[in-house]
Amino acid sequence: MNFSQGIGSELMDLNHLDEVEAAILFRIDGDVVDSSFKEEYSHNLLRTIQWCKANVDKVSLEMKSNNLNKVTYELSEFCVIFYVVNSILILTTIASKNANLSLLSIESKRKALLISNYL
Amino acid sequence: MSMINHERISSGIEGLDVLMNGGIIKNSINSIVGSSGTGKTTFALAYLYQGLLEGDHTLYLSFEETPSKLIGEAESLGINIREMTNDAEDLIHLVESEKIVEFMTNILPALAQKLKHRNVKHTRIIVDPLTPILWEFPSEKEQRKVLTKIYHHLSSLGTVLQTVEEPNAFGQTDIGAKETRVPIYLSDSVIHIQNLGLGGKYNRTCKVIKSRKTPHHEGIYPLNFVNGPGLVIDTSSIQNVAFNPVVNDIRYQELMKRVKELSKDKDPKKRVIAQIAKNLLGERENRDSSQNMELVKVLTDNQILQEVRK
Amino acid sequence: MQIATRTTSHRSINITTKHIIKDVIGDINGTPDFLLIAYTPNYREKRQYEQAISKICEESGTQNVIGGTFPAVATSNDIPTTQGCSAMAFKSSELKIHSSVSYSNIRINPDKGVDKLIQLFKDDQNRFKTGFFLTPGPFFPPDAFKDMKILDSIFAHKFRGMFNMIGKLINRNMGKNGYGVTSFAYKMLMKLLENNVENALGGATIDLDMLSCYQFQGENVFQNAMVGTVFSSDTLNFEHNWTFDKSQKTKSFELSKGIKSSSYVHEINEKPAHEEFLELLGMSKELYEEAFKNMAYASLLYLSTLKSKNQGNLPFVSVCHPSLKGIISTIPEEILDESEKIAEFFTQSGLGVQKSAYECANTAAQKIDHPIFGLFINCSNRLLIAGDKIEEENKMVKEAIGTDVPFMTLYSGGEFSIIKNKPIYSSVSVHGLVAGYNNSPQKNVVL
Repeated sequence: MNFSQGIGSELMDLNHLDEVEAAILFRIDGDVVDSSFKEEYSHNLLRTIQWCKANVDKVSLEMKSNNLNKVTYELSEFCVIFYVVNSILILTTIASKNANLSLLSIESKRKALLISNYL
Repeated sequence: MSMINHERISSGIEGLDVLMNGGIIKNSINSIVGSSGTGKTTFALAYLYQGLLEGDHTLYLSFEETPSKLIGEAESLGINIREMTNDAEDLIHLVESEKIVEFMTNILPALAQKLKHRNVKHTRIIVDPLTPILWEFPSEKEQRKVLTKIYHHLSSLGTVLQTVEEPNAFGQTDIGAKETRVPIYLSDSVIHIQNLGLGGKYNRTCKVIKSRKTPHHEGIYPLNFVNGPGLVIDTSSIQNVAFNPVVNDIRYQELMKRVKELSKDKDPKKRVIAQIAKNLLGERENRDSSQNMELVKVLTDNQILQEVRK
Repeated sequence: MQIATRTTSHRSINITTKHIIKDVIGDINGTPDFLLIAYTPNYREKRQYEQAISKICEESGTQNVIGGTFPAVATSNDIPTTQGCSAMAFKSSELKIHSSVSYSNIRINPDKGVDKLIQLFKDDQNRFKTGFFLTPGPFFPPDAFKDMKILDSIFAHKFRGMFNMIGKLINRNMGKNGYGVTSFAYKMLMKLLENNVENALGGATIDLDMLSCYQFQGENVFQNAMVGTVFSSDTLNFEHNWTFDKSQKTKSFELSKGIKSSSYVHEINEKPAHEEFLELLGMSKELYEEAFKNMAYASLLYLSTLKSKNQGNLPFVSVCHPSLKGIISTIPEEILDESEKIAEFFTQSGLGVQKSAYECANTAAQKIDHPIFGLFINCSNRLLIAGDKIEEENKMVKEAIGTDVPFMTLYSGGEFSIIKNKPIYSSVSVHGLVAGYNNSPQKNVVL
């Protein structure tokens, strides 16, 4: 397995950033295509991931109808950035609540573009 | 909640005993609920293997798979049942579907009687899966009647672990479905396992959703298939809380004491400092908690308080 | 002339470096004359950067390398990154890039450090020349909090969480300790001017987490050094420019009191500074604090500028600090002394930030008939305002100087320029240099 490139590697890059807790590539129906998580397990994070999984279809519909590339949610424990990769995939970055969303959105966008190039 | 010390047995699943406060209570009815492919049978096989290790008498009732297939499955995960006994396949009894009603109503009570007469002290009983029995009794009322009777017999023999299929429609599981309601209601403990498909530690999870007579750990924990022990529940997050050096730290306790005293001080400045310190200590679960403690230490330092007064 | 540039991104510095060696150094036929290397600070350890720079020197065969760490880096042909490296390699007979210099204690002795750069200018006989240097930015080693007053300590800690530590940049005590601010760079600019340096571009390395901040020269990795070089040519022109988002000017105010003794402003319009500041912003204290808590760059959206006689509006960062009943600002005292102490607010916006970057590049490029390359020092606070729009910003800069013209943008912790004998020391701004040929010989005359 080549760890230095590919979708998995891009997600690992994103997850490697200090503030990022999880990077998940969702299909718009909520199926997980690939994911990368911080080593430490967290119930709260699981709750947020499940929230993302349950809502990714609605979010993507909303994004599509309003022609948005990025949607950010500031939840009580985490921040979530949804970034459109293509018409069927959404890159979801879950970061700690104090994360610098500006910086993070730069890398999310970069990764979304790179992932779309692999497909 | 009563804190009577019940006699417990080890489940054989790494981590589950931690979640259940020391293991499964003896002579109780325990359900493993999960949809297909979540690892229910592996749970059952690990429980059986633990029984063999401890020299317990075992009774594995399979309602679906043949003994050789089950043993083969266990072996593929490193649970080597054949190593423990010469007649491994005799450990598992396959109950064919057309004989289910007869088995549950006649054969099982007779078997229980027989075991009692043989003076077997404790038996690990595995019912895998319970679901075909439920299908034989479509009404919940009937299910309740039959299961109560069966459980009565089985719990007098030993500790029961049964697997229950959770319906899965278009990827959506439903723990409260008709198919699972009665066994969940009648069980002493219920362990819910899910295949979330999220990847990594969040792929398969385990949660104790019910545990009569004993407290248990709330929360959802990662469940991994590991060659050797078969299944491992990652309870490191519990251990982290229990041994969190910050939460249990004597320094933290001392600082809290100092802050409490400060908050009662006549000097309003000191009370403000106490409030700031309290807020900082309140964030102790965050990753930079040790830094906050350093700051509170400085804040509540006598010399600094002198400076504030000036 | 050969110029190669590339931005790569990976969680591992080794892989990032490998790509840079392959794609940038590998693109140059022969040994490059000069390399500009900028890494993002997330690889943290000095040793990691030392190994990477050493590998680059070894593979390229040149020691004429300068660079540093910046929260984001960008080049003309790639998407900007906050986790990777940008590099630019030069090989040319027309462009002379002097052997780079460094001075390792620039905060304490800026005069002495800048002498090294001045010497390069003196040694050069070419018609056109400009300086390029990188300095340390605000960063705080573990003992930085030592000996601080308690309220400053609270402030610094508070800001650490809610302002991504940029707030510490403007902490007075930090400034005194020689870490917090980059005002030493103003002294550098003045010394360069005294020695007849007409053009220069500089930027401060920075890590928005304020944990580490490195500068590279040759195989050396420094934490508190100036590194720099001089570009010169008889045929290539160097055009400098700088700007910030000036599109939305709001209110003017007078910095009445307290500015000489420190970087604290005690009174604005002859009223207590912290109250008047919020009054001018039209914001309640609660809302201001809430905004700070959730938006790292809240105060930067309300950029204060000082009206300087010579330099026009100079942007500075100002933050309300209720516990000290004042405003903290990043204006060097020397600039204050010579100004009328009238300040103005300019509201910053994502779009405005993009447009100003375009304007900076475009105005400089307009004065060059055939741009060859560009270098931009863009404030990392602007990066926070722009967010993922920096990709568009990068495209706009590309459009401004020419789609096939390589350039590199470093998102810095301080922007410095000397533009036609005028020093510009500012915050939240973009400074740029565009080099190229001019058809008309008149344009080549240096005034």
